[in-house]
Amino acid sequence: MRQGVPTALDALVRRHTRPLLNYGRKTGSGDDEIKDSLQEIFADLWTRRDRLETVQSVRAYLFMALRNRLLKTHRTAVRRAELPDETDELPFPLSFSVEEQWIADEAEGEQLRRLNAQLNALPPRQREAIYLKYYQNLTNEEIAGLLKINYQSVSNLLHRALFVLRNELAELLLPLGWLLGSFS
Amino acid sequence: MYHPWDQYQTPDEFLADPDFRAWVRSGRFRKSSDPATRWLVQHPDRREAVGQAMHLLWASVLDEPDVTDAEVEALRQGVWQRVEADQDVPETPVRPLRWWGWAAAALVVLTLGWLGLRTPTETTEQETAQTPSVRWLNARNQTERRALVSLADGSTVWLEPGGLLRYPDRFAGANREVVLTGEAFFEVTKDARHPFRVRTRTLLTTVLGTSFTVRAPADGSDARVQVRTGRVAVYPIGAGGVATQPTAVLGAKEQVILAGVGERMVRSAVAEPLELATRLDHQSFDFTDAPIPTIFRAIERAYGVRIAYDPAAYRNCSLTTSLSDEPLTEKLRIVTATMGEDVHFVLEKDRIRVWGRGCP
Repeated sequence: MRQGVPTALDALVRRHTRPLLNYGRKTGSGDDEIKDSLQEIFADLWTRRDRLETVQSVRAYLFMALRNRLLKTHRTAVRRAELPDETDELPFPLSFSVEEQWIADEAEGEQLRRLNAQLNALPPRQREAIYLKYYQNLTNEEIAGLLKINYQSVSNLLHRALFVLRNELAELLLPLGWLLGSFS
Repeated sequence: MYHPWDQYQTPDEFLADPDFRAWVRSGRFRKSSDPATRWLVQHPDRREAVGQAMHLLWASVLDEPDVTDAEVEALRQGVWQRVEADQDVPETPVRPLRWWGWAAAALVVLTLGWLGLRTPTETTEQETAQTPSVRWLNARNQTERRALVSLADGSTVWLEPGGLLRYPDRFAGANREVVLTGEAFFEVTKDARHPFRVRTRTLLTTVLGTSFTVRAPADGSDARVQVRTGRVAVYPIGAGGVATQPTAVLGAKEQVILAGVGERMVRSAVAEPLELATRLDHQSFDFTDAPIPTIFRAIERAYGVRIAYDPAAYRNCSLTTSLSDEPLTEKLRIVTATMGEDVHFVLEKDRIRVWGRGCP
């Protein structure tokens, strides 16, 4: 890419657009805004290609670029609408749902639904951290850089989610049915 | 046989492994042939941890609508369009000027945005190509006040809100050309050998040295050129490019209005001169033995700017000079040069500052 080979930019766009778009959509930003921001980010990379620094993870870098832009737009909108300052973090309105497929019985289903409710009740930043780790496969360091918090906070955030899990499922045993019987 | 999961004891550890998550989400855990599934069968002591990890994943499912190939492709094309638009127009800071007594204003300079101005005509492209070392700059006024753009030749452009001016960082070549969308008032330094041209989507205005207004609304409504002093020639731009003959040569207090593309240009006397033109009209810039504060006050009043200086330092100064018809920066240059070779001025964010020892 630094040498100005256009197909390098194409490859970059093709590889990263999906996860970036998916992430952007989770933050509560509109599609037009996200696509706009992404186009700007990629175009900038190309335009400044002889001034690029090497990064450890291109993916994390792109995530950060997108998040920063979306945050800036969000904050401008908040200010213009004169909303209170607490709303100036990205809303991250996503809600998790339950995977119904593998539920063996009603008891398990009930527990999953309770767990799900607790996860959805977590503050937006924690939900975002869970999403980034377990869906976008970012490392704790990358998440820390992205959310602008320190590494320890990321571990804490994730632990809190698991703490919820542990409380909920303290006594749930893995249904043995699928292990012993229903293999395909 | 070693398996990476041998070391995992707690649900956290399993969850932290992307392979584990993929194994769960894909449903592969149900396949007895899958190596990870076989591992679990062989390690029943981890069953509880694995189970809890799986439950967390199942309780945090996200439905992500598919991003289609078409969407990715459309985005990719959009990227290249933006790259082309940004190509010769780098970001650059332009000195904004705050108006004395008015609300805060700042001139913001942007790279050509994806909505932005398409390079108007071929001729401009060619000129740029012939002088590759010239950088083109963009000034977009996103404030609510008129903003000042200072050009390399000393000319000044007062850009109205919403206006966009494209100009080179230095003028090289036979003409001094800038591109305008929106409205601006120009004060052009005299240089007969290098005509100054303002190009808009539908008009090309050529001047030798004068002050005039060009209005070229982006929405395609009437374009207008209004002359305060001097003479300008106006050429319409149509499908075939710039007309070879000017449709109008305007003198002071004359204007021409072009309604839409390919329409006739209507020439008339200026009935309502624009504000800046009026203020300049009403301010005399002929001074005889005038003290510095008087001269500076005249400039402040006419342009609506503030000049910061130490009156005590220039107590002994009195100038005889005529500054009419010079752009603001030229007026300042003439005055400060007359005051002494150590006197300088600079355009700052919210004022003009003059300093240095003068009038010995």
